[in-house]
This record gives sequence, structure tokens and C-alpha cells, in this order.
Amino acid sequence: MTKRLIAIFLVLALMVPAVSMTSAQGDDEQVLYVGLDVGPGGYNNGMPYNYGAGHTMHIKMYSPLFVWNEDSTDIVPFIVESYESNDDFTVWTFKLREDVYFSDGEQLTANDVKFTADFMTSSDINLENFNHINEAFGQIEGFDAHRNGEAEELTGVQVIDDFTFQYTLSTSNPRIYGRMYGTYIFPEHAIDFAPADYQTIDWWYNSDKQVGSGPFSVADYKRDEYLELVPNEYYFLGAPKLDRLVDRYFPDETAAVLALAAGEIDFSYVSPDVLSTLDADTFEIYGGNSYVSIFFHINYNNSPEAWQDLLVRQAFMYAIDRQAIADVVLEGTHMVLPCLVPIESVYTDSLNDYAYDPDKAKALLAEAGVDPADLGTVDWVTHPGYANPLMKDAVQASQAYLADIGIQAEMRYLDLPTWRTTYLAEGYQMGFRGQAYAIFSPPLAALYTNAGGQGGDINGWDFVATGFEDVVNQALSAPTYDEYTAKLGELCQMENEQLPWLPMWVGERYGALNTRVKDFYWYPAGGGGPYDDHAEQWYVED
Amino acid sequence: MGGYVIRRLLISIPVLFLVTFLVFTLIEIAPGDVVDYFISPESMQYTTEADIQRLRERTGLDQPFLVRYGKWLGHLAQGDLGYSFVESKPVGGLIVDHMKNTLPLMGAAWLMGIVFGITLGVFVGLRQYSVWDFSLTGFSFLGLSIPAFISGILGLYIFSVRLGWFPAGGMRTAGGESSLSDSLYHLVLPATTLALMDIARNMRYMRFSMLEVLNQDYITTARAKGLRPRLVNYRHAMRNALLPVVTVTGMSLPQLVAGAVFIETIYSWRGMGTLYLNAVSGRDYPVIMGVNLVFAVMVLGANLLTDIVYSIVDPRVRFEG
Repeated sequence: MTKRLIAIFLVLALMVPAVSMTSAQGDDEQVLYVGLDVGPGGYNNGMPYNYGAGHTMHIKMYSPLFVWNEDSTDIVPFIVESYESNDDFTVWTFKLREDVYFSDGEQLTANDVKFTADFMTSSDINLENFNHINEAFGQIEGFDAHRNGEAEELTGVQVIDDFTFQYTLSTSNPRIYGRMYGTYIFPEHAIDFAPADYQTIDWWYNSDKQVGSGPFSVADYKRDEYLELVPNEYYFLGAPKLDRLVDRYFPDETAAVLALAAGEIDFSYVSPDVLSTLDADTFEIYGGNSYVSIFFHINYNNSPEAWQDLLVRQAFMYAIDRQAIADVVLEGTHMVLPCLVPIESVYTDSLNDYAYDPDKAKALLAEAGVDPADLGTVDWVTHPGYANPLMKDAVQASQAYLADIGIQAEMRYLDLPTWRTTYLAEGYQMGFRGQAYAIFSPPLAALYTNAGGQGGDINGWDFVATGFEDVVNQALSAPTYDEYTAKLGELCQMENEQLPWLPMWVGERYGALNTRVKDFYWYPAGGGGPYDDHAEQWYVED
Repeated sequence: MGGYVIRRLLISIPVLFLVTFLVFTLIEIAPGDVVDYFISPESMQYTTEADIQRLRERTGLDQPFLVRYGKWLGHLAQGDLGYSFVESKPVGGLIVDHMKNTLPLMGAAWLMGIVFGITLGVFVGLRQYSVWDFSLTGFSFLGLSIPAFISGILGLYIFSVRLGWFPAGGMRTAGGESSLSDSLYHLVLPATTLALMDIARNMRYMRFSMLEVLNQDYITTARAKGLRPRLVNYRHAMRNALLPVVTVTGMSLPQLVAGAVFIETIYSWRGMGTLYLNAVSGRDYPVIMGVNLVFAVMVLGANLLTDIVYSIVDPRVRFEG
């Protein structure tokens, strides 16, 4: 009996792998399996403009007008060849490259740009992702009218000739191209559906329909599983070397790392704590500035009045050993921030580093006449996007440091709808979150200004200070990059002195690549950029 | 029997109604809604009150709670489960799509739980206090105490990363031809992980039940009459010992559903668990309602089936009507 049972187990265990060693890869095929954007909210959507992130994959299928450069420090033309503006930066003329073709062999022209602009700003488009459409087209004349259904087209976009188009802006912007990095151009001749069907149509995933001007086009798509791409032979930078590129979707980051370790995929994001577990001979590590500034912010309306005293906020800064947390808890993968601008080149020696000094923190509280015991328990909420295990450890360490000077905090980790409800209702005292920063990024301005949206008073946590908004606007309208960064330096100094929020860290992000993949490039650009990763050159060595 | 089944089915209707009302109320009480889910912090500066209003109208969230529930019920009566806000697809289609993936996973796990759990339970029940008994009892404690998300990651690490026997997640070879063997290959590890707790529980129950039955007078009598041990153990003891296990296996369905939520996430399995988890985090109430309804029907159906099976395996049980 015993022997029979063991035999049955063995047969069952051996049978399944034996019958299932099917290969997805032909002998001579160049196939690359990757997990390019993993985790909840990772890339799982083939529709450009409908998603704040996912540019790493969008640019594989569609070519934008501009892209980020390789290390996210500038915006550079992609399918635009040249551009110029009038004197007051309200009229911009762009010349397209003449060698850009869609995957069906049709040439990309200025008419496609006009079509895309009209299509994406239609009142029927029904997309929730307001920031992307606003960023790409929001400053073009006639945007509001077309978006509200009062005009039939986006009047500020004009076709001059086959390869020249013009933007007329509703406001002066010396670097309008800074907002055009995600402006993917669609083929007018191949889009056979109305804007209202944008989200429901299968065009994006149907290999018989989808047409783009990126290096690849769609071969197969299984939602929540994978997206399989094949080369676009007409790609203007050369046909890709790979025969197929398969991006697998992993809702769980751990599962992606295990698939990487098992050799099923050749690339994936990895968190810093995983780096040391990967075999150095097998994997090449890519890393870079995440440009996501992590900070605490006080809800000025719903916190003890004492907190509005600068001395108290300074006490918070001195109480938390940000450097020790960066070194130990965050395993050396984060840099301490003097302000929310995560660019070291704008920092000056005059910035206060708020080095850990609990005695000074206590002295500042005393000077402000605040007894921590009177403050009660601080209700502290965390945005779900910044609540990974590593960050939770960092938050808890900060909580412990504050406890050392007598400030008690109670943490709440919220999901997105709960966070937004709590945030808008001002139902918290202190918040923890991050802010993505991109070159010339309008989102950065949201912290300092109230752009008429859902931010509430000024920035959503009721901090009111004069001067910030002016400097931000001056930065955003600075005609040169040097002037722009100079203004950011000024902003950083103001923040560092006034502490409207408590800047903490900016982190590195990492990706691990199997060394059998060659001529690969990756950078942890926020939202995936887009940047030109030259995917047409990637290949897999046998 | 027929009358009993019809009565049970009729009783199920108010139960289902109550379940849907409770779930709808819970969604209403939960902070935030799908509109809050749609708007990221980066989008907030661009989102106007008009945008919010447009979204609320589109999703029907501008209507009062009872009106929305009434509309949902009205659509349900016509066989329409509504439309997913997050996925932009009909809920019915989404559930069918995901259920097609979950059923093999849960079915395989349930079957493994029965076959291996009962077999091992009988095996150790007949060998009380042997090495096998101690070893497998130890295994069953382990199986019962390790949560699905731990056993899932452990399973992936051991059998995929270290041994390379099975794929590290997914339902098929990405970009490959679909085949039954490929699907089975991908099913083995998640299904076995999901089945672990069921196997352990069924084994424990079966062992206990076997030991209890083996100590009954009629077993002693059968042995005293000189019946062959195999006949006594399997025909007389095992059949009677199965009765309480039938109830346990029927009731294990909700736990399988709960386990599937974790297992599907860890193994990148596009099933009902994933659908449900995404719907809850997005406050996609038509999907939450649809999935809960399906789960409630499954649990009620499993209970009914358990009772029917009980009457088959135990001749003493008779239904009136």
C-alpha cells in the first residue's frame, strides 16, 4: 500500500512537467521576455494618453513628438526635426522628420499631428487621466472650447505643409516642447473609431488593426498577462533586431523578481533590498535618480496651531535622523533632501542641512512654548503610492524619532480612494507622500500653486506663503535651462528656510538585466519617460 | 428530494438579496469611490469641479444610494450585471472571462484537497502513532498554519527558481501557442499551493474520523467475525468515516475563494481573485457586486450540493417533501 501511494505521487509529479515542455521560442528566433513595468498600477494598458505611466511601453509602439533625454535632464526632439517660436513664445512652428513611417508603410505627416490633437481633446474622449491630455494640449488656443464641446476642432493647431505644423498658445511658454514629450501621434488613415470609443475599442490590441510609428507593433495581447510585439519594418531609426518583444505583467513585484531569477524574463524593476540577492555574473544592474521627492506635510487647517510655528517645523526636522534612515533603513539607496527639488546641481552651501540634533529640536519646541504632551496623538496618513515595505520602515523610523522628543504619531496606510477622500476632507493632521519631478514639470508647480483644480487652498494642505508661486511661474517661463535651474535654486532656498513641508529623501530606482541581452538601455524615468531607449538595437545573445 | 431542493432554492433568493444589499451598503460606507480612484495626485491640479461632475454623472454616482441599488437590482433582474468603470467592459463578460481561469484553479485545488486529503487521512488513520502518522500530522499542521501568500512565494522560490520544475507564474507561456499541456504545466504549482490547506484540513478530519469509526463496536464485531482487514477498513470504516469530511469539503469553498485572491496575485493568474481585488481597490462597485453575487451563489450551491451528497452517502439521511 505504502509503495503504491509513493508511486502514484511520483508519477503525478513527473508527468506534468514531462508533457508540458513546450517552447514558445523557435530555434533561431530573437525573443526577449521582460517585465518592464511591474507592480500594481504597472503597465497593463495599450492606450497612450489614458495612463499617467507606461511610457516605456507606449514608445515601443508610438513615436512622440519629443522625448526625455537619456537621464531625464532635458527634453529633446524625437520625430520633430526642428522648431522655433515667435518673440513672445505664443506661436510655435515645428518641422517633422520626413522619414517617419507607420507600421503599415504610410508616411507620418503634419495632418496626423492635427488629427491626433483634435481627437485627443474631443469632448467625447471620456478619459479620466486629465493630467496627460492637459499637459500635452492644455496650453494650445481653443483647448477649453474643444474639450467642452463648444468647438469642432482644436483651433490652435494648424497644418502648414505636409511636414510642418504650428501651435498657437493661449499663454506664453518659452519651453512648450517641455509639455510635448508624451504627445504620441496616431495615424489618421487607420483610426476607424470615434473618440467616444477610445477606451472600449480593441483597436489597440488587435494585430490586424493597430498601427503605430514606434519600433514595434502589436502581435498579441492578453490583459493582465502579457503584450507581445513584433518589429515595425518601417521604423525610422531602423527595423528592430528582435523578432519578438514580450512584456509580461506582474501585479506583484516579488513574482517578477522570482521570474527574473528563474530565467523566465530578462529584465525587471527590482527594489533595493533585492539587489544583493541577484547573481552578479548573471545580472547587470541599472539605476538612477527616481526624481520622486518624499516628504511629510502638515495639514495647516487641521493640526495643532503650534505646528504653524516655523520653530516647531524646524524641531521636526532636527528630530528625525534622515541620514541614518537613508543609510540604514533605506540601505543607502536614498539621498537626503534639503527641499523638494531633487536636483543636486541647484543646491548651494547656504542651505540648512537640518542634521540630526534632538537637543536642538527640544530647545526649539521650548522656545516656541510647545509642550509635546499637549499636542496629543498625531493622525498621520500615508499615500498608497509611497507605502512599499521599505518606505513603511522609513516612516516608522521617523515616527520613533519624533517620539524621542515627545511627539506621538499614529500611522494610517490608506488605499487611493480613501487617501483622496481623507485629503480633500482634511481629515488628517500630517501626511506622507511623494511628488514626481520631471524636467520643466508642471506637476511640481501644483505644490506651490492652486491651478483651479482639486487641490484645495493653494496646495491641498492649506499652506499659505507668499512668493513661492511667483518663483515657480518665473521658473516655468524662464527662456533657458540655466535660468530655469537658477530659479529652482531660489525656490529650494525659500523652501529650506520656510519649511512649508518637511523634505525627506529622493531615491534611486533599479532594474536588473540578464547579461545575455545586449545593447539594452534603461533608465528609471518617472512614468517611463518616454525616452529613446533604442529598442530597435536590443538583441539576445545565445 | 425534489421538493427539498426547490425549497432550498427559494430560501436562497432572500439570502442573496440580503447579501447584495449588505455588500452595496458596505461599498457605500467605505471611504471614497471610483472617481477618487481615477484622479491621481498629479491629476488633481488639472481636475475641475466640472470634470468631477461629469465623471459622477457618467458613473451614476450622482444618484442617491437607494436609487443606485434599485437600478442595479433592476438590471440584475434582466440578467445585466452592469458595466465596469475601471475596465470599461460589461461586468458579466468580465466575470465569465475571469471565472474561466479561476474554475480550473479552484477545481484542481478542491479535487486535490479531496483526493490527497482523504487518501492521506485514511493512510495515517490506519497507522496511528507510526512514523507516517507523526510526519504527515506535522505536515498537516504546517499546511494549516502557513498563509496562502507565504506558501505561494515559497512554492515559487523552491519549485521555480531553485528547481526550475515549474514556471514562475502566468497562465500560459507568454507569446507561445496555447495548448492543454502548457496550461496544465502552469496550473500545477498555483493549484497545489492553493490545495495545501485543503489537503491538510481534509487529512486531519479524515484521520480523526477514521480513528473514531475504527473504535466502534460494529467494526470490532466485523473483525471478530473474521472479515478481511481490507474489507473492514475500506468498506465498513472508510465509508462511514467519510460522512463528516463531506461536510468539510463542501464548506471549504469560501476558503478556497479567499486563498485564490492571494494565489492569483502571486502567480499572476488572471482570475476572479485578481478581478475582485482590483475592483475593491478601485471602488468599482458593479464589479464588486457582480463578483460577490457569483461567490454567494457558489457558496449556497456548494452547501446544497453537500446536503444532497450527504443523503447519498448516508442512507440514514432522508429529506422530506
